[in-house]
Amino acid sequence: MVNHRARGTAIELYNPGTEAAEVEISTLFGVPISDSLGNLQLYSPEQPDSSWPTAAGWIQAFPRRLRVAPGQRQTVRLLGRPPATLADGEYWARLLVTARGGSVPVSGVGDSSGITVGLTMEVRTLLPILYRKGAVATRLSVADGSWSVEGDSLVLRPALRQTGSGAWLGTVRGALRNAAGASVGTLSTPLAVYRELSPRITLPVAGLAPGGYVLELEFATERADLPREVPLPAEPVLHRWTLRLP
Amino acid sequence: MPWARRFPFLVLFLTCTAGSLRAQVGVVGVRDLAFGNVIPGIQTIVSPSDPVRSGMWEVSAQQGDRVRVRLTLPARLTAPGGSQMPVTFGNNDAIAVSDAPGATPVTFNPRASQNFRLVTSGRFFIFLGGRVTPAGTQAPGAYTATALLTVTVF
Repeated sequence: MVNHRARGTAIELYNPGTEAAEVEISTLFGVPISDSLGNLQLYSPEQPDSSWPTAAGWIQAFPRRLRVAPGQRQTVRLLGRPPATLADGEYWARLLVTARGGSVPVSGVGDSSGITVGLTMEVRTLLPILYRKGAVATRLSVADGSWSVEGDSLVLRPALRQTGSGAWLGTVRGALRNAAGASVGTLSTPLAVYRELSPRITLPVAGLAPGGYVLELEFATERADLPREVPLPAEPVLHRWTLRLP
Repeated sequence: MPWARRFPFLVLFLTCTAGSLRAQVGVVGVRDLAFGNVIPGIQTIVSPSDPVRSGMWEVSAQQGDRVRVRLTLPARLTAPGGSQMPVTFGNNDAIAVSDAPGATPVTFNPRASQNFRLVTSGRFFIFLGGRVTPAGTQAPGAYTATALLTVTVF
């Protein structure tokens, strides 16, 4: 996360291997969306329309190319250079880090065929960047969406919509209760809702009797995997979903 | 055996140093996919479960994270002189497995993106197999290409 007052932050690259890594760093626009099956994918148009608050054009990494020697750490600074007229709000980008190893060994061909074959492995990592200026707030609205039973799992597709000025980052926790009110299953999964999302969330239901159940969901802006200041605070959203399992 | 030498580790760990918690993501190209010496006219197959010759990446993030992995794979390998050789990947040529005890490997099509939620462990491995079919008149040389793993942290 980059705050407009500081205009920058830093990431650290570490190469604990035994071979130097050539690293390239760039930024692009990208936000998670859900596909028709509820799987997450990155929506990353080269030129997002003006409705998307992109920071990709004015957040820069220094240096953008570097060589990280074996066992070495290197700091890369991310600096925001937004337009002077930038309105308050949250702006989104993705950091793209590409790492390559050394050269491919092409010498030493010496067996009877003289043909050797191999593929080298490269890695590319895409990480979210949030740039915040001024007062930023997030709100989440939740609707039932759709659900189904697939094998031994209940598959939920809640319809989520973020209606504030910043992404909703949090965790959904749920308890499935039977007609007597007893909890017969729980779930907990992190979510990031930038605008709209209908993610696939599963809950094991093997062995549960057919009949009516109530799923109680709580959407809270807590993320165990993120620094505390990254999720914007918001009141938890409670949602009850009535289901009838076959 | 030129391909007996493996790239020791192509490693990248990213650490966000701001904040009270150090969010760390690591993506590591551990081992190249090595078909080794091949015979002209004879197809050579490397299974993704091959413990020595399969390609291998290691991915680590925070437990609970959702990540998407996408492999960008070549259709041909090229020798220094410009000769080429086709390489293909089947629907079951990739395996993902967590490092959690008792984790079940997941076989998937390496040409399709895969989403994972790191439930019991923040670390998992991806293995890649494939097949090459050198022509009967294939020119000698060391044929190479690059397989790229893109990891998106949501």
